[in-house]
Amino acid sequence: MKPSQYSVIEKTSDGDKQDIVFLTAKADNLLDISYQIPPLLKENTIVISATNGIPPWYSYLQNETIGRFSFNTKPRQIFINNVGAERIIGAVIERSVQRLGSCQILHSFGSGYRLGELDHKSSERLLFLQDILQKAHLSAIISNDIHRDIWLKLIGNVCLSPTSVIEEKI
Amino acid sequence: MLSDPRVKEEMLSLANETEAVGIKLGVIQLGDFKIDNFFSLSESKLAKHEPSMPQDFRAGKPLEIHRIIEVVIMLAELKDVEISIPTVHSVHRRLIKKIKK
Repeated sequence: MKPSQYSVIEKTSDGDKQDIVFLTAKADNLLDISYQIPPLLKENTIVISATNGIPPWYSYLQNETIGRFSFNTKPRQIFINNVGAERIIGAVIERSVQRLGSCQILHSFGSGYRLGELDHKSSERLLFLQDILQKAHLSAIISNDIHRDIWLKLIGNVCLSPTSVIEEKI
Repeated sequence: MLSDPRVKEEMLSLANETEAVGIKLGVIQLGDFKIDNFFSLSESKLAKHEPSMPQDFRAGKPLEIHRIIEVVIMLAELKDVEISIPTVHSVHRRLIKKIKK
């Protein structure tokens, strides 16, 4: 992508309203970041929540599963109040990149996203996202159970990430 | 890491315990997570790519502990879930100790 095709801003209040917002920050920062989202939103903005771990919205609309045990928690309320539940698309990132330096990124494997509605239904906007991501040469698999896919990735993260810090080897 | 039987055994326990919590919550079903596939894929992936958590650790950055590991502990302790996850607790304690060093 050429520099003329994007801009970098420090505060979301300095930016324009967006059609699509990708949240790809560290999982533990997702709640704090949600306070900065409203200036980017218009009526039909799609917010793709694509972090590792369990996001604050995870139990929303899941009254048959996790919602039975984990009710309307404060982090969930805050995130949904800031972003709007109807805007959220859940996502799992299926590619690995590593920052090697200030201007160098190593792409190791994988090529895109797994995307799903919070109610697990298909939708026009999922097909729209799949289309534009594929045009950008990113894979986009539509998930019929994004909660399942997020938990399966979580199992891998719980296995690998803490252990690789404790053991100091990969 | 996966060539060390002790570490691999612990990772297997971490996977089993996190899987059990997910099954009890109803978000996954038994058999959804295939540990053998995961280990073989991880071996080939880890040869090319280091997970972000150890990169962040070396860089002195905050680690994604809460929404990756503490959330599993919190959910396992919920009333009517109550799954025993001793390995997750042990790894969490050692991780916190390591960070504080």
